[in-house]
Amino acid sequence: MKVLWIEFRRSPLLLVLPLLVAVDLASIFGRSRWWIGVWPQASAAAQIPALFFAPIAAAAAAWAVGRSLRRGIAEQRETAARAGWRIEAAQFTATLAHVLIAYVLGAAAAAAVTVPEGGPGFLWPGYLLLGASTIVACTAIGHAVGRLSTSAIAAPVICGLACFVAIGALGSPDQLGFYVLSGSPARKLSESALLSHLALALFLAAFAVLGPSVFRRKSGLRTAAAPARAAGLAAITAVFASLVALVSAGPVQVDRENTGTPLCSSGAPRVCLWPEDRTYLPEVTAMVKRLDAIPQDWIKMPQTFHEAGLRPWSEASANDFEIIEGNLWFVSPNLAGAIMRDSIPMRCEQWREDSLERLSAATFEIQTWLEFRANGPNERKGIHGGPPGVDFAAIEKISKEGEPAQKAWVDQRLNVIEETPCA
Amino acid sequence: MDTIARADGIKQGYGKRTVIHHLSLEIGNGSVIGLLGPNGAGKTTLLRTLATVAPPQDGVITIMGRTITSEKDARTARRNIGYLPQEFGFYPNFTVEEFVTYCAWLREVPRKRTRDAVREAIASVGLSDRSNDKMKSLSGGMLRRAGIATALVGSPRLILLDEPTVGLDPAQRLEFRALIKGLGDAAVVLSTHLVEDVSAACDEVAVVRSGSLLFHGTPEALAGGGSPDQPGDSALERGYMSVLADRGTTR
Repeated sequence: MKVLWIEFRRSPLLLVLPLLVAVDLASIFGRSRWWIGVWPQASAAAQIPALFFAPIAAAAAAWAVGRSLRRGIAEQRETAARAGWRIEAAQFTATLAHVLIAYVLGAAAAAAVTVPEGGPGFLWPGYLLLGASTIVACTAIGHAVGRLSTSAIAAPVICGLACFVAIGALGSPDQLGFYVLSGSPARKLSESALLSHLALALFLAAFAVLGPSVFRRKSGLRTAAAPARAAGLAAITAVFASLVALVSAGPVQVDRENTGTPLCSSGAPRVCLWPEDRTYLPEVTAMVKRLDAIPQDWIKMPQTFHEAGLRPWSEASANDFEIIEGNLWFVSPNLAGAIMRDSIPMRCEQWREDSLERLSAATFEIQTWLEFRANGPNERKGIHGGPPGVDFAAIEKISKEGEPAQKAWVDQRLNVIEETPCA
Repeated sequence: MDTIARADGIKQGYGKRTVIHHLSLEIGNGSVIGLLGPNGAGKTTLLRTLATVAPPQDGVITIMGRTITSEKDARTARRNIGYLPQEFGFYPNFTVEEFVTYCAWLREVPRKRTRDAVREAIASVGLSDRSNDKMKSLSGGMLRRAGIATALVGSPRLILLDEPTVGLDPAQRLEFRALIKGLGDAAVVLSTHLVEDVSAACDEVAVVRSGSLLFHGTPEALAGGGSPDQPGDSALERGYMSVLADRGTTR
């Protein structure tokens, strides 16, 4: 333990620990703050720095393990009574500890700001473990590869870049899932995927510390004890097995079953969302109230607006609102879509081809106007896209005019919809 | 005198190049053996083989009665071997105390003994007042002394020192010789280029050339065998040069 402490305290990585903490906090708080107050979102946000830390950890591990070669410590280590894997493990752990400390401090900061307004629960450990497993895996790769080179630059750069590219190219949630970007309460981590990530990290770490036992030259320096060699070979086999498990585990995030009681606003129309999303209830309720206050008879407000995932999938749930990455960008489009679905019945199974463009433009413009009304006078959350030629500025402008002018504008578009002939 | 380590007919080399040819050497408890030989004679390879860094290609190494045939044997033996390699590596950011502690940990000095053992080793090389200084702040001579401390920590029974006096000034060499003499019943094998180190600190001398042991005996015997025709400032130097010239083996 004392040696681990010495390795930790005297590692040059200690000097960059404040920088790591700064990177951690910047990537948690600089990206967005919508997640504050929602435990699953805070957990996903706290896991995001792993994206940056994993390549840094790989480079640092490669640099640290090469240091003993560059500094000529290898000869002393070759004559050690202490098992080789324990020497490797001490160095590996010291490197890993620096990165994990920064990572844990970031998670603690995310927890600290979430506590005051947090919904039920606490940090979801699965997300934190996913990030930690990515960091451990890259640290292990750096430790294993760094041993092959005495260069203070080549191995760290190669390992850091390799991890960065691998995570970027293969690590998204719908690929191998080395990270997640959002922690909606409607989603959870797949247990099998998380287990395979943890297994891969664990076995890579085992390989990193036992690898020298396997590959040590027989005619060269210290030969490995048979048990260590066998354990090293087992670790290599297990790395490949866990890679196969990872690939076959499927998406890292899966739908979460709603077994509890949703949190709903009082009065009508109601807003129901996951209890974990409690912090968003006032704002979503305000959006719905703004929509409910529009003095136009054609609007039929749904009795309840649901957050996605609260009820089984059906045609009715297709417009349940989503809170993605903790922000409310996509709430108003879903609210407007639910109103449009209930208020404007589909008269035709198919429309005449030559009228489709006018119909879709009119429909889209009304929906966009509803989104502006939902968001209030000064916000344009999530309002984008749409058919060619849609003038968002004009729609926003009309949404701020007097109610009679707005009614006249909407009526024009409703007429287009009503007059569009069926095919 | 009990034997603490023995090399029996060992052959050692790197790849196809043989450096040591069927060399045998017995190291007695408490003996201080000076290993003399020209550059490339195989002194370092012999010390590394005795330190169990490299298993011999042929022959047998026995340490404290245990024949070294496996990594497990080697690791057991290493607990009782203090080894200072010729190229002494160190972590520059470690303090002297931390680095000696690290080396004690490598040798599996019992945890309860480590603290005292580290302090004793540092004191024995006269670095107590620098024990909290970083290794990178030490002069070359001090680094060598710190290296010697890493070999001495935990009171190993067999101490192998490869060119320990390189970088030491004359006064430090005198201190080193006194230190070696005061190590009690630990056996010491030190390789050196300096004949005066041998005459001052060693009670045995082994002369190696081209991987073969040419002479193993007392410094007095080596000095006594010297020819007046050989170059040298002392009888021991002349004896050493005579052995190299004769290539004869005396035991």
